[in-house]
Amino acid sequence: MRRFQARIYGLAFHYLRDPEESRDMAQEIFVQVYRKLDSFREDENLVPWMLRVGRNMCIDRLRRIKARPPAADVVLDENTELAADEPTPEDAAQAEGLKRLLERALGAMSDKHREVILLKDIQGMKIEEIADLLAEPVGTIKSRSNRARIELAARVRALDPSYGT
Amino acid sequence: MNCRGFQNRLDDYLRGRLRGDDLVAARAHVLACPECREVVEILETSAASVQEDPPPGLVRGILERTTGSPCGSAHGRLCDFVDASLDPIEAELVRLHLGECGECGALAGALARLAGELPGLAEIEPPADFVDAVLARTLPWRRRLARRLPRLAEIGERLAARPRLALEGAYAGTLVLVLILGPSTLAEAPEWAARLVAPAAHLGQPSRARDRVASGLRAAWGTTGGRAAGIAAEMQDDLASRFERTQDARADLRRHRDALLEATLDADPSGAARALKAIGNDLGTLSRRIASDNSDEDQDPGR
Repeated sequence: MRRFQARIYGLAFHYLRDPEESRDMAQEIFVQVYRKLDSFREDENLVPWMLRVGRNMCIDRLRRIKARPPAADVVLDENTELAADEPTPEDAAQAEGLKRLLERALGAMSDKHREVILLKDIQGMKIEEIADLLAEPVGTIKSRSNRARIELAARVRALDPSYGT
Repeated sequence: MNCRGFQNRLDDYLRGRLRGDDLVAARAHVLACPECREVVEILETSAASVQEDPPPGLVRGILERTTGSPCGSAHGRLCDFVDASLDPIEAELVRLHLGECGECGALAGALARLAGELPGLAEIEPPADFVDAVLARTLPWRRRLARRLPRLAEIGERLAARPRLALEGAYAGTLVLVLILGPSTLAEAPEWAARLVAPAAHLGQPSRARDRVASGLRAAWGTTGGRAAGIAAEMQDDLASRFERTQDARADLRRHRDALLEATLDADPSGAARALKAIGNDLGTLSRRIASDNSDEDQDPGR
């Protein structure tokens, strides 16, 4: 669990965008994973399976609170830290600035585009796995992923014109 | 050969690598298609400079004539270009466009940087007590209960220290006695006592009265005790047979009790409500089976 806790918490945080909600959700996900371990098949990859369980639970939670992630108000708790290996103060400040930049750009995206970025580019799921998870054709997910990446790049550059140059 | 097929073979055509039918088809297409012919002419006249220093507007002109708006076309291929999954000719065209379009070049740079930086957002350290909290919730309920026993013991001690506990205990004990022996048995006790004491008091013989009281009490105890024992034996037999009929309902009750404990420890109100409802149903079933004299009646209501 220690190995995956930051990843599952990160997944919950990107869906729920609230530290307290994310903490509760991540706990729920681990409890659910623990209870569902019997249904985990040996030939499956554990991480995508956990991400699938987590994603479905986050969506359920979002439906329950009847609110999608806020479009622009990205609230990052001061105690919320990206996992890092002993960064220097300069590196930490830079990483913090970058994190906020990316979170702001992500927060301004549509739900569908943000989700495909989250699953593919952040969590590293394959296009086929995402298509299976979202029950949509591979081609649809592939083109949505490309559009989402372009949108994110454009939004990041709108916030910081030096990004990418 | 159509335009797209020709464009796919354009590099081979210009480098003279087409042979046989492919060469014939390519030449026929160049003759038949003015747009592709123009592309070939442009590329052939500036063949030496195409690779390193294309004239201004050349690539834009090619893309506009072949695939529409160059920036729109580039955007459609930019992700594959950054991922290096574009076929070589298209990659070359995109590269040439990026060389002359600053905005698309910066966008491609941003995409490449994002590809390296986004995975860094995957992991966010949760609060320090996260693991303990999850472990506490995944322990079997008996162990979780054991962890909370000191707190429950503390509550129990506080309750036991209340001044009215003895009175409440006596009240509860009386209720149990009445339930076991029945109110009629206890109701006769004062009369027995009066009958025992009255004659002795008239005679003014305290020692005899004491003996009579003692023997009377023994007789009363024998009567009451014997009756109670008889009632208890009957009840025990009856309850044992009824108890047998509740086996499956008791299993359900245990299961739902565990679910209620799990939900309570998980602070899951909806789960607890479901478990309570199920327990209510179980208790209903239990009471029906205990109350029923016919063992088949409740088990098969449709009969």
